[in-house]
Amino acid sequence: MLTVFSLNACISNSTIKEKDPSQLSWDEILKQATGQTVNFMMWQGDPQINKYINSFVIPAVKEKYGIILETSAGQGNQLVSILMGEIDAAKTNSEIDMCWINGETFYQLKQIDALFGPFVSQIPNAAFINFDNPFIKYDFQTLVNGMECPWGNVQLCLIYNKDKVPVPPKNRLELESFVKQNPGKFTIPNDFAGLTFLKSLLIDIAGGGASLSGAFDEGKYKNYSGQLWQYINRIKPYMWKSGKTFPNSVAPMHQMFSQGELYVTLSNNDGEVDNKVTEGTLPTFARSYVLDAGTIQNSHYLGITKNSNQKAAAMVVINFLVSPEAQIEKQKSSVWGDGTVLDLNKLTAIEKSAFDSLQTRVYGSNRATIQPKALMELAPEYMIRLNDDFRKYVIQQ
Amino acid sequence: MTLENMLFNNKIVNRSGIICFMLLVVLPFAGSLIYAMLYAFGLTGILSIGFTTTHVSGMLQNPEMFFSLGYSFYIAFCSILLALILSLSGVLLFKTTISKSKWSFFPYLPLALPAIVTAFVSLQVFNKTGVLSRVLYQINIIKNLSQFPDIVNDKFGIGIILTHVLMATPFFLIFFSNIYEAENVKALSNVAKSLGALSTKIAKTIVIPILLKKGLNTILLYFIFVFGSYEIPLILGQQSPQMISVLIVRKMQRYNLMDIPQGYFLSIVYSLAVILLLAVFLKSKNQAIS
Repeated sequence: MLTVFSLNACISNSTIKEKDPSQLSWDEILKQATGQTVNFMMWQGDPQINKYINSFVIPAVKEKYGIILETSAGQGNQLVSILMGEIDAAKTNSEIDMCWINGETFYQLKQIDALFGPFVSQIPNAAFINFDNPFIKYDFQTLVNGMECPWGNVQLCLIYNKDKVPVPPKNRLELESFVKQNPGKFTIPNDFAGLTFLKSLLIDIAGGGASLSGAFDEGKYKNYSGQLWQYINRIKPYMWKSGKTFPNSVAPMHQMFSQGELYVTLSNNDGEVDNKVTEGTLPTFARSYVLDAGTIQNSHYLGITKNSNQKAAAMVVINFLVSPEAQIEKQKSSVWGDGTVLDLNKLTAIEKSAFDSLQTRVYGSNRATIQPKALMELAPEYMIRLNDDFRKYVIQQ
Repeated sequence: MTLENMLFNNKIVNRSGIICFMLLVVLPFAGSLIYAMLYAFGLTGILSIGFTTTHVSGMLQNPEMFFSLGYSFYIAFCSILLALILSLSGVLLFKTTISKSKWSFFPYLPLALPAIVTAFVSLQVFNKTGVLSRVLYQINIIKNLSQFPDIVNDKFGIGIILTHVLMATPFFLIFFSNIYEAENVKALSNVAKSLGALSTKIAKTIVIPILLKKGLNTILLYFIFVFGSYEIPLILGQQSPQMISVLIVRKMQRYNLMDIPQGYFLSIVYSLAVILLLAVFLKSKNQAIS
């Protein structure tokens, strides 16, 4: 293991430089991109998402731009590890050209200066992106500043078993009663979705809305996180396995939910329940909603690595991924169910009607219903601290 | 002179072998250890700020590392002990028929499964709503699925141990069966029997000591393999304590990049623990020989 980590930092170096695309016009970028191979590192944990990329995106960019798009599995920390290793080894031609990133990864990649940009303003389809929307404009309280391109927008939701839970808990107090009345049927995953849920509760404890907006505040964190851990530890004995352990991701939670072992699971995508029920992964008794005090809504983005030698081609692929055509396909419940980042008012009437005609949700709350309950992501330090302290004050207690 | 003798008695071949071993095994391992050491003390790495003992002292003051090492040792010890008991019992029961019968391929089947697949199979079989629980429910042994005991993701690592035992037992069964045959244990047992020894005494004083002594190296290597296993404890273990490999990867690949030097330090500790195990083993083996 040690050798693998170390060798990762000693990857050989070779340099074939392309022209800096920030100095090129879009036509020149298109010309430079033709025939190039782009490696896209993405989370490949969902067969539906993989299918969207493999069956729709890859053939389209090949046909339209002559770009060969290859994908590799990896996300967040794996991506950061690889890029750190490459930078440590002074490698100037990265194995990864573009990547799918969320706020915490954006924060880490900025720490190690691994992203190329700003590039978003050069992409023609960026004109359709709704940058007036603060949930898109800011990533974990930081202006994206063209260093990553918004790709999709989702909101955390709770998925419940409607047969067992006719009236789901709508606030913290009701959640506490629900957990106590249904021992062993609720838990929190120790992953990104779980931390997003904890952040939503933290905002609620702090007074809701924008009470924790802005830079990380140590005083506020200590005060409100203390109350959060008291709350979690109060319900912990009634959680799954008496709170002695927690699932390491939402995937086993979904499975236990489907088998009836849990009555509630979480999803970081408000469109997931419809997608997963259609796919057959979640049962038809699954319904989703958000707490009255709100849940965090965030966007996911596409970045280009600083040491990529295929930046122009990566920009062309990203331009396609944020095109109305690709965004409509992606938002279909039967495909992915991922929310769009486009401003529908900027689209043509035909494109707008295509978005409007997408099937409304059957199992999950519609976006219009939950949008007023959307909370902004917090500064990344909140997540780092919650991750450490959840282990310290809850798991290890 | 046979080809074997020519190769083993040839100094050039011997030296080349040592050089190859140094280049392919010792050098990368030593280089990795040095790199990890530099990283742990802040002397290299993209976020390095110069020499510091903060990361090392942080880990040394954190009981999590010691719990993790102890927990890994406990899991490895229980898994190997149970696998040895089962496999030795199997050999005593079936003698050499395991490797000779037409069903002899059955013990090999679990060996063909990757650890991650075995872990998922265990999860499907042994969780509260898994196959076993449903069967027990259907035959009215339990009244509802929640009555099924916690076998996976449990406090005592039963799921991890069980899965390792399922993987290790067939391996040792075949391994000991081959030793049984190669060392002519059956003939020795027959001699003892003809002199009036009881079956239990033969097992205790002849069969088991021979099999364990001849298989000691392999047993230790398997112990180290279980000690450093990753996929099985990741899927079937608890969030705390975690086995050492799971803890290292968590430190290396989580949200706080400042935890990475701690991950490298843990890697050094893990490597030293394995070297220590090997050293103790070699020393006791040498003492036994002398």
